[in-house]
Amino acid sequence: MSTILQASDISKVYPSGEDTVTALNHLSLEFDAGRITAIVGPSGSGKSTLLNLLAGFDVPSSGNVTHNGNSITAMPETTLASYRLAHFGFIFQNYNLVSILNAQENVELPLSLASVPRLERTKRAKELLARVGLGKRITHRPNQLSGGEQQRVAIARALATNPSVIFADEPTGNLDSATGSGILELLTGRSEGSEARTLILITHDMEVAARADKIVKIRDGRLDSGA
Amino acid sequence: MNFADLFVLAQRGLLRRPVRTFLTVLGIVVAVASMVIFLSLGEGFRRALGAEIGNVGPDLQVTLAGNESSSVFGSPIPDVPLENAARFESVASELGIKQVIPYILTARGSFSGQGYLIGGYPFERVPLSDIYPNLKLLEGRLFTPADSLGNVAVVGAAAAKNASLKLGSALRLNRDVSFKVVGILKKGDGFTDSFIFVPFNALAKGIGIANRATGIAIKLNDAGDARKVATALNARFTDLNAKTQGDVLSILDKAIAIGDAFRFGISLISLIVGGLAVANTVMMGVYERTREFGVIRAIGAKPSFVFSLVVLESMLLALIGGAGGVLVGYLGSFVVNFAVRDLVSVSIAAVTPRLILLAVGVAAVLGLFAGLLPARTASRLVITQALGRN
Repeated sequence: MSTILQASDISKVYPSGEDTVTALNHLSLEFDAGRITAIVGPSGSGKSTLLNLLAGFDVPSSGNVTHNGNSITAMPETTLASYRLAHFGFIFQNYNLVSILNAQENVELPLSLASVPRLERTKRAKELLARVGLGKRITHRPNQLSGGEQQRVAIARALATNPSVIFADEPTGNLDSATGSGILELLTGRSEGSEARTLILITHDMEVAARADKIVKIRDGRLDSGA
Repeated sequence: MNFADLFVLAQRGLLRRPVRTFLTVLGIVVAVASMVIFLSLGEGFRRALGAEIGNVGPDLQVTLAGNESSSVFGSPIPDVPLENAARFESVASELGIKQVIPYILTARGSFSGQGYLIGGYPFERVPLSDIYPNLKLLEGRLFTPADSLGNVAVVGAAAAKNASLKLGSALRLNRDVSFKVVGILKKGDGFTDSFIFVPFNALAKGIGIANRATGIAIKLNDAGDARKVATALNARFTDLNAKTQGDVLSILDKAIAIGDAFRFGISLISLIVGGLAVANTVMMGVYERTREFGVIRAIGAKPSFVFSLVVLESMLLALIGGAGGVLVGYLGSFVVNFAVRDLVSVSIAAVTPRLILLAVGVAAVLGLFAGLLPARTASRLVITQALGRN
């Protein structure tokens, strides 16, 4: 397996009054292409900070993050935005759908940002929503959908641009066990028989973590074990 | 993302809070409408004066040189010596002058709507139709050569109404002098509706002016020579100032432009208030949608995309308000014209294409500036903070 994403000796230190708080402490990790990695750990252990740095939402205080050999840390913001759009997909813990757009428009949003022609992106959005079981709810806005439905729209949105890496924060939190299992298959692309996608997920659900190819345990900003 | 998609996002963003958006648009409507109504006054004056000057037969107006207090038509007190008419007659064939017409203009009445102008012309030499070709008689008669010293008057429609004059009525000029109305003109759409025409000599005698005129109008054989003849007359008679219709319009335009600047200054206050309302609405929208902007940025939108989105929202607000303002201003100009139609007998307010362009342009600039700060704030959001992380 080739390494698709690599964190090299990354640290994240936040100012807190006159003191500082170290959220991540000289952490190094490698993520193999096409594999599911579950990041687990207690609250405040640094899981979300790690995800932010890996996804390029934030810059490490020291160290470097690379994707396919390209340093995300060194990229200017504008380049990084285009890079995220082309290579990464995201599922946020509280879905974070755009409230003024309906389900289909939410899924189309990253395609629209990538200037995909309207017909093509509409077809893709409808297809993805059908795959997550929301084929008949495409015109519903987030406030007209249940938590589980919103989560599935978020999953469809993450898959829209067919990214090589998907970052997910509790992606199956509001789904029943069977649906959650199906969603994981969908996220990795293993069910499609196509080239498998890399999935990096934060979860408290040990059942979900057990399905991962690799589990990374974080405690106090350091690797605990399993890396 | 193409513009159509960006537009849909901006429009949806504004419709999230329809009442707030409506009230903000209403503020812009009021601000732009007041600007349109204020500036339509200048446009109406320009249009009316342009039409009036063009309708008047004489190609040149001559007044005394160096009298800055004079209006473009002459001093309020007749001060141009009549012998100048003879001086112009002496060079008439050389310069292509067809007619030399001394005139006296005097105003009567007040701002109460009862005002009119008395114009004294030598009708025994020059028929009224030669000076104001568009005037039509409603009843009675026009002047005859025998009227030279007769106290007779031909009255414009608005002047007749304002001064309560009918055919055969007496128009009292002062304690000793009055004029008998022998003709009433048809209602037109110009200042001449507020005119009362009387013979020059009779008016001069009536107001105690001897050998003086307010100004001297000159008709040329070829109106196209007006500039050349004016230059020649000004070179030859340095005590006088000959102005072409273009000069008169230019002077009036300058005066109107000063009025425009003053009125625009007043409307600027409401425009600034409207702009602040837009900025406030857009900024509140940015704060309320911080998380959404964070999501859009996280999934791959560039900061410039968020900036454009917010500026577009701001400009949409201002442009919708601007369009509404033009419409309300247009209706307002009708109300103004209706209200003052008896006072000035012309449409003093006019919403012209250039005024519409100005209003829309001002609204667009307003929207642009009002959106800059919120757009900057939105485009600089830190993704992790916007998402509520860390």
